[in-house]
Amino acid sequence: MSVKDIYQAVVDRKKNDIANLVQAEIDAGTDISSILNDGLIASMDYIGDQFAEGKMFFPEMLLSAQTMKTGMKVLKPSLVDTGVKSVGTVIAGTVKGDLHDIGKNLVTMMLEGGGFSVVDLGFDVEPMAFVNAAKENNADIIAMSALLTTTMPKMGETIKILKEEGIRDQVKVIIGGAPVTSKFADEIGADGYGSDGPAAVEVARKLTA
Amino acid sequence: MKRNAHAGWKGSGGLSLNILNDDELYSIHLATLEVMKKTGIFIDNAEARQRLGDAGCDIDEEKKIVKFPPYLVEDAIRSAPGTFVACGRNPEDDVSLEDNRVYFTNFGEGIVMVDTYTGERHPTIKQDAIDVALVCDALSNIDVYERAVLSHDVPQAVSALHNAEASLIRTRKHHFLGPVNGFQSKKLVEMISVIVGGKDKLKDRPLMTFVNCPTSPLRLPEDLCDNIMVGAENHLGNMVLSMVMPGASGPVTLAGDLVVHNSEVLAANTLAQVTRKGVPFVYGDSSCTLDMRTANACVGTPEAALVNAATARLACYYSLPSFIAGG
Repeated sequence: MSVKDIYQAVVDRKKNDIANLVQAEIDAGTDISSILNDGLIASMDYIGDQFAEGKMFFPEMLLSAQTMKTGMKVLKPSLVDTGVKSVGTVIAGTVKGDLHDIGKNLVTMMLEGGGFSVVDLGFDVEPMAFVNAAKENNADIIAMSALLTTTMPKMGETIKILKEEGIRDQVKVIIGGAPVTSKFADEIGADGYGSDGPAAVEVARKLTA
Repeated sequence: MKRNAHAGWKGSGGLSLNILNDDELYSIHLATLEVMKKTGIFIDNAEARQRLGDAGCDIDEEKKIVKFPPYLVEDAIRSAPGTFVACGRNPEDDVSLEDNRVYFTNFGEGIVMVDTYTGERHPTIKQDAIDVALVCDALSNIDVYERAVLSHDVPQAVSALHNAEASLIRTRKHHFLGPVNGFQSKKLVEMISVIVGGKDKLKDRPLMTFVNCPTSPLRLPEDLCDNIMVGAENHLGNMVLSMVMPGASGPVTLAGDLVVHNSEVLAANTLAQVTRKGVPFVYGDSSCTLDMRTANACVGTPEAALVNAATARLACYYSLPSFIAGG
C-alpha cells in the first residue's frame, strides 16, 4: 500500500476503496501533505489533463472528483492536526435571478478536486451574500456563475460591493458561464475567467499561488 | 373499365413518428405517479404548497416537498381541456390546439441578432423584438407567436412587459410569452385586458398563454408557481416547458428522463387546475442531451428528436395540447 494506490484509486474511480486506503496511509505514518498532494490532488490534475485532451469526459471526471472528496473527508482531521492548509477557500454560486447551476456544480467539484475548500451558496445568490460569505470564511476567491445575459451584471455588482467595503484587494474574483467571456471579465474588473471546470482550477491556482 | 368507390373504407392520413405505444405510455404514466407520490416535487412557493395541501397533497413545509396522491394528478389531467382555442386579436386569427393537429411557431428567446442588412451581430434590443414580431405576423405559415428575443436595452425588472408591448401591437396572432415573475404576470393580464376589452373577456378571448419552465430535476421555482396561479385565476392558459437533460438533470435513459419531465409538468398542471378547474394547459418540452465532453446542451440531436416525439405522444395520450421542440 502506498500513496500511489490512493492516486490510482482516484483515477480508477474506486469510491468504495479510497477511505480504507487513505486511513491505511495515515495509520502507517505517511507524511500527510504527501497523501494530499501526491495522492489526492495529483491524481485530479492528471484527470483534468485527460479531460482537456478529450480522453475522459465529465461523468468520469465527476466520479473521480467524488472519490477524491471521499478520501479528503478521511484526511481532513489529520490536515487540521498537522496544520496542512488547503490550497485556498472559494465561495461559489450562481448569481441573483439565475437558477442555472449545473456548470457551477461541475466547477465546484473540480475546485475541490484541486484541493480547494469550497463554500457553495447555491443559485439565485445576492451580490451581498457572496461578500458576506467571503468575509465569514476568510475566503481567497469568489467564483460566480451565470447562464443568462440578463443576470451577468450582478457579477459587477458584487465587485462594486467589495470595493465599497474596502476589501477588494483581499479577495480575488473569478467568473464563468455560457454567455460570459474573458472580455466581460476585464470590463467588470474581475481577476479571472474560466471556460470550464479544469480551467477554473488553473485560474484559481494562479491567483492563490 | 370502372373502379367504383369502396363501401366503408378505413383510411389513414399523414405521417407521424409513433414512438411509444399505449402500453409503454401507461408504464411511463404509472412511473410518474409513483415518483410524484413517493419522492414528491420541490415546490418553492408557500402559497402553491398551501393550495396543493388543501387539495389533498402531503406537504413537508420544512423541506418544501409536495407529495401528490395519484387521483389528484389524474383528475387534473382530465379537467384540463382537450381543446384549447388560443385566441388572436380576431376570431380568424384563432387556432384550435387539440389532439395531434400540428401548428407552427417561431421560437425564443434569442439573445443575439444578426442584422438583416449589414450581417453584423449585436445583443438583441427592443427594436429587434418589434421587427421579428412584424415578420412573424406577415408569415402565413407561423400560426402562433412566441416571444422571440430579449430586449437587452430595457430595465430588466420589466423586460417581459417590454417584450409583450413590442409584439402585442405588431402581430394579431396568439402569444406565448414568459412573464418571468408574479409582478409582471399581473401587469401582463392588465395589458391584454385592455386589448380584449376587459378582464371579464379573457375567458372567451385568451390572447396570451404564459410560458414557464421548471428546474430539473423535480423542482417548481417560486416564480413559475406565481405565474401559473395568476394565469389560471385569469382564465389564461399556462404552457409549462421542461428541459430535462439525460445524465445531467435527469436519468441517463430516455424513459427515465420522460418520467422526470412528466412529473414536473403534471405537478404544474395540478397547481393550475387546483387554482381554477378547467383552465387551459399546454404540455411543453424542449428536452435535449448534454454533451458529456463540453457540458453544452445539444438541442438538435437524435435523442432530442426521440424524447420530444415521445412527449408529443404522451400529451396526446393525456388529451392535452402540446408545445414541442421540433427542430
